[in-house]
Amino acid sequence: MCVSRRTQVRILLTVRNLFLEARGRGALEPLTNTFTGGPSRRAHYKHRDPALLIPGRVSQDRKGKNCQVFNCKLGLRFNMKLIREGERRKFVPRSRYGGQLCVSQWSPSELSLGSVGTSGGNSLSSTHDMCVPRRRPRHNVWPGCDRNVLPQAAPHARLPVIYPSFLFTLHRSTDFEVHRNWLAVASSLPVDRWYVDQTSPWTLDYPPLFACFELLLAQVARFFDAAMLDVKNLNYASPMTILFQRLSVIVTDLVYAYGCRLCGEEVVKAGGMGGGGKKGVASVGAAVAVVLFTNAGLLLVDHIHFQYNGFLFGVLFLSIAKMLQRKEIQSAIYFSVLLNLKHIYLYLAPAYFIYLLRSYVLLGPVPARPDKTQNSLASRVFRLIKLGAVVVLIFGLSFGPFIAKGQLQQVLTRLFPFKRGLCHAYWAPNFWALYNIADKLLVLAGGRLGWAVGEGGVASMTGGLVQEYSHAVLPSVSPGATLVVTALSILPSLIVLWRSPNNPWQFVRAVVMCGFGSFMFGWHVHEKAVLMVVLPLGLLCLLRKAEAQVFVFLSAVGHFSLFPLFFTPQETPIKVTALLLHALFTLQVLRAHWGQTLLNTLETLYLLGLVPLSLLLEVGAGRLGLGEGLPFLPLMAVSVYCALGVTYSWVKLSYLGLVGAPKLKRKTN
Amino acid sequence: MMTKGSNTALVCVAAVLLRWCVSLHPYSGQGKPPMYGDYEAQRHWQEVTVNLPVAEWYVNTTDNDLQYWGLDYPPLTAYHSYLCGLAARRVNASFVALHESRGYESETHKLFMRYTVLVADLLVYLPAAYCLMSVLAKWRAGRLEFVCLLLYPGLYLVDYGHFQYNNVSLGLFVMAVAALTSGRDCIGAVLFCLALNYKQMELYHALPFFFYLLGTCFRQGGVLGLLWKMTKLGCCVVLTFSAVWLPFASNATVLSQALRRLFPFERGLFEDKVASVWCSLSVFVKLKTLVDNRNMALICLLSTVVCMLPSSLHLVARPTLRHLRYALLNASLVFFLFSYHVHEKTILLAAVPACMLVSEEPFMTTWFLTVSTASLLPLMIQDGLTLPLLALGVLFMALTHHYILPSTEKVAKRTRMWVWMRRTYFLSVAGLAFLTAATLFVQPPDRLPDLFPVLLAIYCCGHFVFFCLYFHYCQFTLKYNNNNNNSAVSNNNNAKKHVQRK
Repeated sequence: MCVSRRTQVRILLTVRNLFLEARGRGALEPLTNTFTGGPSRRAHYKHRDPALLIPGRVSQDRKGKNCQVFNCKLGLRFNMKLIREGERRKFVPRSRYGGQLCVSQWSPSELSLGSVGTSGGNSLSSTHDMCVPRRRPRHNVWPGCDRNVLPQAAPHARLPVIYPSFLFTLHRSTDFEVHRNWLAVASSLPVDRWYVDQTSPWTLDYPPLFACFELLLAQVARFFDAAMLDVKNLNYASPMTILFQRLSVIVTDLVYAYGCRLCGEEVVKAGGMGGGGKKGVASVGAAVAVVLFTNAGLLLVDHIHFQYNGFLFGVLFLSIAKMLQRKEIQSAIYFSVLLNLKHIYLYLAPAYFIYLLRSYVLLGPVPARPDKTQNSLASRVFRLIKLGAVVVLIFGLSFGPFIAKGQLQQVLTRLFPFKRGLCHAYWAPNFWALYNIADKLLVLAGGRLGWAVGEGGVASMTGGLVQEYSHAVLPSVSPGATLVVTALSILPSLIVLWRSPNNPWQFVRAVVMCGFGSFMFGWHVHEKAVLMVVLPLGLLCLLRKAEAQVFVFLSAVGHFSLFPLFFTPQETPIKVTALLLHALFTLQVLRAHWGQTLLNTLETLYLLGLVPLSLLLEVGAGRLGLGEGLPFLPLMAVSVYCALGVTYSWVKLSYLGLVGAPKLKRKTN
Repeated sequence: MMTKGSNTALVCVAAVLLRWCVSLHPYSGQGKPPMYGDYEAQRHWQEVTVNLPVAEWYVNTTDNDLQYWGLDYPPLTAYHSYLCGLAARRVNASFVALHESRGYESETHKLFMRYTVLVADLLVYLPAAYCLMSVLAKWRAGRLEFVCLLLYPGLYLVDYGHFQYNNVSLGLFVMAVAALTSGRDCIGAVLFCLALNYKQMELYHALPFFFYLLGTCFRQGGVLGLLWKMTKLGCCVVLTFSAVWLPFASNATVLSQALRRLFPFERGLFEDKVASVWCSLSVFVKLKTLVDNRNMALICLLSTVVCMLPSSLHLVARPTLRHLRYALLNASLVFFLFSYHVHEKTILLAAVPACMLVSEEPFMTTWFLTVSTASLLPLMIQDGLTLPLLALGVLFMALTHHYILPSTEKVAKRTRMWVWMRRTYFLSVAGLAFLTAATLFVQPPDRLPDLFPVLLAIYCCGHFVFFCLYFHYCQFTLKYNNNNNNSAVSNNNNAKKHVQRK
């Protein structure tokens, strides 16, 4: 694999000549310190005929600076990494059969190079994101077989995976009743009663479009069992009701499948991997779509615990995919619909806001020709109005009826119940879990050392089910404080996003960081919310190795932290095998792309630590002789242990987001 | 190596997940007193074996009412029940309390029973499939067999839904085939005897095993070699049998009583609607009124033996491992079609050999496996397992469609016959879908309440006859290399050379 030194020199000389040629054309400023970097900054690529680097058109980048494109045709077999040197950067989008070399004069302070159009300016691949794997993706061939089991056939695997969920049919949890009640409320009560009705304790607390969605479902539900649509029929669960609800989740999951597919295609394009042919990276890209679709946490939460998260994430993915395709208006439509389906996605809104403002409203769509920039004030205002109209229209459709009836206040109090505590009964594995445990440890330590500690704190410590409690030693946290901390935590990623315009992948990063920040520091976070981090993060896992590493780690930890949701002994093997299956599959797909080292020793040890922890959780502290004193110890242990891993991932991801492009590393062979 | 391990792990984990999903569903006879179903039978055996001395297990006594699910499987099953019973007693003594626990049903108990099947799977069936894969890996095969053995839905629908321990006997059987494949004939013989001693149904596979081993004996070169090998094998068989039956040997009556329990001729020709020849014939000819049970048994025996002979004798002449695998499938299919007292579940005994042939005949075996899964429908409807059957059937078809059938496409494009085969396949699946839908949703006319299940049985029976003929044809036209004892090995070498040339 290692390229001989002579070849390297030849390549470097060739590229240098190219630059000289480019200078002769006057398109670029002279590059002074070309390729002066140490050995670690050298490109590794095999080549056959370097003369096939053809200078392409000169265009302008977003800032109006000159930018030269070089096309490299077949014959050059790039396996090239980012070249970075001195003041200037040259990026080589990798492709096995061809690609573009783009040279521009951007200052290094900018984290994104933006992009140089290939054709039509639509499928711009942001070169910044192109960290190229050090070797060609290895195909997983089982010895003694002609076809691979999963990764290669993965594009087809999409469909089958949905079927096993039929198998959970006979199981039901409390969320069944919640959604059954909503079905009943939406279908049998007039609109102005939706947010007033209090027959069931599970009142409607999703935005109006979701109620409309339930209304649609109810039209089908009639044919299964009309009795489930009666509001007074509390805790009604005939087999047909359960069947219908299961089926509704499975069918609406198709939206998610579609979203994953669109995003997968974009991932493949972004990697410059489209040309790889059937057996190339395209299949890995499709495999990523499958990784997303078969997400263990989503499977468990939707198909066992029962919710419509798959559908909602499908809409989110559609929105992201449209953004990646540079169809900003469509993306905004999908996202506003999503907000009106479930308002928890408000946490992601800052990323949308910044990106749309900066890249769509202010800069405008990518010009087909450099002289046709659309940065005039009029065009900006026009775009703003277009965007605003779309968003206002959708919100108006959703909330309009309630505003007309003067129920807005009522709806909003239902949507944002601030009466709940900082943490859920089972602490979501976030920063506050660590904060709580620190508080408790301090209380314990204080007890030993004889400090005066408030009794209330001690009592709440063992309670577990207490919704609101005050911290004994550390200051108690108010909703406002969490809001401020959350805002602070997502601010850096938003700044990075602002400074890298027209880079939709940076936008995806910001979405991830928004989700992550709100999960880490939000008020009354449910452990399910970890999906809001893991799923968008999955989109990035082919672009940068470091992000792939975080994804593998975080998805394992995050899904593990969902285990306490499924507490009956029948579900134990399902959750364990589902998690294992997904983790193994993810590892396999990503290893095929990135090589072996996806988890370092510490992370591996940490993940192995989950095994005794799950034993503690499943066997229960009672059997181990710890039961009487501390009934909630296993839950607390899971929560704190996972919180450590999640916090680690958050720190790592934040760091990656700030540091920017991955560093070049010399290949060690 | 990593990839291989990780692929294997993926398939294993997926298999466990699917199995456990099935196990959430009801079992046979759930909440149906007084007799319940196979689930209660297994529980009852645990109760009997744990509480009574060995000598009373097969004997009708005051404590052991043989009319209520008396033990009618060979001793290994009884020992297995004994072990499970011991575990049950530790978990909750009321699971297996003598007399009082009859018809015991609870969520915990269901969980316990499901776990026992899972443990048996993990200890016997999975390792067996893995052994087979690693043995076949030499021949550039085995992976598909592994996937098929683990993911074929019929087996775990019966084991985890309906509730039985077929995985133990079939696992031992698969392991025996793996042992033979790796050239360890004696170990293979021992393992097969164990399988036979777990479930007498394994007799379906006994003749091919016997004839294969006989054939290899003849190939030892010289009379001495023949005698030495026969003695070795004979010793293995005799020792295994005597070891298994030793606890019952104290008393001759106990032994004879046990043997009588194993082969119950008082039961009917077939149960419910089976896709066997006799069941299909009886739609047109009332066999039960024409011939009495004893004669019918004779007729069954004769027809089975006659139909068995061609493939078996062929195997003696050509004792290679490929021939063996074909012969196993042929023999079990013949048994299923013609033998006495066939049950829907019995098709599993043909399905497992079919799984082991999947890389030789990817198209036909997957077709067969699909049909065999569908033929379980009446049983699954009875047990309330329709939904998992449908879901897993579709899942299995999707899997085969994407992973196995594409490898046949090259052949399919080449010959005209294969084009027609594929069309027939889609037609046949459509027919299955139609009959399944009809069974589930269409109200049959009052005079013929079982119209659609019977139609389904006849339809499947037609398929099985066709498959039986086809696989016989395959077995007889297999290439046989006289110089090499194992034609598959030489084929494999050719294939390797071919690959290298590329």
